[in-house]
Amino acid sequence: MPAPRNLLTVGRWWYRTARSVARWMPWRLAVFAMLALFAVWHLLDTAPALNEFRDAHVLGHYETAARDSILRWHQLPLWDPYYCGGMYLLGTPQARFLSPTLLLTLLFGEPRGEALTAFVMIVVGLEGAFRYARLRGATSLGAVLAAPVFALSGVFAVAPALGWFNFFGFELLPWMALGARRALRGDTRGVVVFAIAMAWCVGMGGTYAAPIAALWCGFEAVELVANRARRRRWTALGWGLATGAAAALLGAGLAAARLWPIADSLAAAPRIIGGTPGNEWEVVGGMLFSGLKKDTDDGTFFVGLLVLPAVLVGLWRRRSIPLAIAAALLVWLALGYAQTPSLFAALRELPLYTTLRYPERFLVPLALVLATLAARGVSLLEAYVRTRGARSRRRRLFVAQALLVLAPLCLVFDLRPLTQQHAVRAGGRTLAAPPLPGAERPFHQARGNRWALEYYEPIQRGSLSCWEAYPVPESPLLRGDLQSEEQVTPPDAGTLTERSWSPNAIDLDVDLSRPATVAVNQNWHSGWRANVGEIHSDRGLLTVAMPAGKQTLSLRFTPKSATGGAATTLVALAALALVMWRSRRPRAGRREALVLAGAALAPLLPAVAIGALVHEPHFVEPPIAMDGRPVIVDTPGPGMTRLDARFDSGVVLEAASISSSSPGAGTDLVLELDWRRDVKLEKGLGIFMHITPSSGDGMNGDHVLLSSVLDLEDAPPDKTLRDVMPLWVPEDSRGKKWKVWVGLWRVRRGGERVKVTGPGQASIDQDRVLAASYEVR
Amino acid sequence: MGVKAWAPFAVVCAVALGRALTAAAPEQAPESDDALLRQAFRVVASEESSMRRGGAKTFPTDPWSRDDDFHKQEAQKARDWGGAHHVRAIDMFFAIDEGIRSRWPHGNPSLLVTTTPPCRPRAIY
Repeated sequence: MPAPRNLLTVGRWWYRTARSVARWMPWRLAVFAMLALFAVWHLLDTAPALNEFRDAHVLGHYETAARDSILRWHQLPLWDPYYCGGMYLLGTPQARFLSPTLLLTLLFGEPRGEALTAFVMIVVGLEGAFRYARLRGATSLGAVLAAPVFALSGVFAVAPALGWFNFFGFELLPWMALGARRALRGDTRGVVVFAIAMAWCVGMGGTYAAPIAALWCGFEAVELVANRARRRRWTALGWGLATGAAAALLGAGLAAARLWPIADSLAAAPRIIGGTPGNEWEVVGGMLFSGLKKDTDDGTFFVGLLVLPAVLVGLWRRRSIPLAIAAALLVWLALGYAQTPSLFAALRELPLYTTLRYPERFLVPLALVLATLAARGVSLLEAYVRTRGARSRRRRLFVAQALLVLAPLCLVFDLRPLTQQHAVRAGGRTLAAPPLPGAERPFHQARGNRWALEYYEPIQRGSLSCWEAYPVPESPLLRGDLQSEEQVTPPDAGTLTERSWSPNAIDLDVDLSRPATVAVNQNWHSGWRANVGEIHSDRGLLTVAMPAGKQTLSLRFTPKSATGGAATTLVALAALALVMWRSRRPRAGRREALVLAGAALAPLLPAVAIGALVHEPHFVEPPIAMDGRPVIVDTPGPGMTRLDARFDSGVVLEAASISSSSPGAGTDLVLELDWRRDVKLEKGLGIFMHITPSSGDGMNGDHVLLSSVLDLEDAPPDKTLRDVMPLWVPEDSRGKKWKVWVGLWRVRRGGERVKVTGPGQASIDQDRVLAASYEVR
Repeated sequence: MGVKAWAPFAVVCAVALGRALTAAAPEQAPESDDALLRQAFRVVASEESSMRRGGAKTFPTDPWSRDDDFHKQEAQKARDWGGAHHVRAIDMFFAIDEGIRSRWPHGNPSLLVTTTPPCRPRAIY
């Protein structure tokens, strides 16, 4: 046989084999598992080690705390006394334990569980990307070749290195998109897929995956409406939208065990995000297509240049227009504020999206778009060669055949950089020996250290040192040096003994000669219940007002959002089982519609009932400044210098003061700025402070919360709002004269300064008000 | 589809599981005695004021950021000293807590801070 024919035969054999493997699920999953294994090999190789990166400590701790709660204390992971003085673990947005991957953590421990989670989630993402591409019209071969472009993309290589395992929730994006797409086409099996994927994604935590996936599903709905409206298929459109709404309701119901607690936490302590982040075009290009470069963002969302030939072919068809539009929108979003007008800025006006900080994370769904387009590109070439072969002119057929070889080959060659980046990122981690539990000790709050958080729980210490993406409600009265974590106040009113302690339950024997307060060295939360006395919040500290006498005080943490969320999830689970059972044989008609509507609405019953019937105490304490005095007062106090400078946003800087006009070097001053806001207030404002010396470098003191506790938007109008803060006098500032310039800027909208429209008694310079000055001794 | 068809997939998953379970953890230093813990505490605590000044210089008006910056330096100091003296990191952080709680002697010019400002993540990075 001549050589070219031989090659063609071999090529055909490879093509047929690859198609068979792609079509047959067991073999396909084996190939996907192999790819995942290559990608995470280094993670598995170092599985028992502790990642010393700061975020890895905090996010890993949530998983450890959940495991500990279940295995050691035999309790549900609701309250975490080991961090921030006690926090609502189930309501922490970044915790990822309400996901099937918790099983890996329970069985193998947190560090090994993490590595295995990466492996499992990559396989899940590969199969999801494959199925989504198939639903979008790709062949099995095209979908298999393109799936790694999404599921192995840069974000999944970066995430484990930083300890961001909750980012693997993004691997569920194609499953949610697939479910939504099928549900919107009236397929009840799509409802099931969507609901399960959504609940899993929400359970894996993070503040990006679920909102971005919701946006994608919105896009699917818009595409459906456009498609059906163009063809005037109004009945199909109505049924599709109804099924889509059912999917959304069932998904929300199934995720309620996590959604409700998160909503509870964020309502109590809203996350405030400022700044106007943006990425230039070349930065976005570098993130997607460049290899890793130290101290740059290059490769953080890597898909590789080799995907482009298949993507370009995939764009050739008219049916690819929606995907092309999605890609354009996602790139526009990823550019953030660097592109005017900014789609990202517009998106941040929506309630669910106000807290998004990083626009580049929209490159994750872009990877799915590129993977789908690439899959369609390969499919198109396959179809062209097969169907046009007999009729086409030889030259066009040859070009198609060449492309058919080139585009898939490029995707195959792309696998190397795609998998390699995972090893490179994993190899760049600083690893340490894992903390082993030591001797049994009673629990104590410690000053702690969030940069080394994973070392505290094994020694039965809680870390008051706290960082989270939202301002965790934390009492300033917490102490890290107490001999006993529970105390009677006043101390001469009686005694107490700790009978038992666990994260969600504390039992104390209390003997009081007169009514007194029992103070627990943990944060108050509305979910704490007591069998005797009355629970109070003392500046955020958990306290119980107790009657006189001998009694056992039992404190239990059972928040309404956890019980309500769990009940809602259980009903949704039953409803989902019904939908699954009925979807074995697809039927249409009024009866099916009623069943689906009933199933979708059923989870609302426990949610509404528990929401309406169970009442939790709420203590609204007036915000207190660092000097122990209220933030909200009627007028500026004595000793304040009147300024009365009015800004063009409904805000007045009424007065200011500084604790000394001739401080010593290396000491702290106390600066007070007294603000007043009108009823009508521009949203998204922040305060900037320029502290400028007579010579040398100045300092900044930009902030959003007044006295670190009160947002201007939440403040009452026509009251004096005290903004009290320390002001450090640097040691090398002796003999220098300093001026404190203060102004307002649109910190969450555009970034420009707010104009001063009325100077009052103040000196103004470039829309800054001179608030204070001092000379360092 | 028979069970046998899933064998390749099961084998790959088993390899992943096996690798994760058999991988060896980095070597642990031995548990420290009381004298070494006290020494570790003294070394780290003695620099508390100077580390806090560093935090104040970086964040002149933000109490939480100042404290957080201090903890960053404290963690680094503890890791460095522990690494150099073969003390486990977990023992270093236990020593700091135990030293504060039990008032172990230290060379810091002022009293050690026993609490932290409430968490206030910066709205603007």
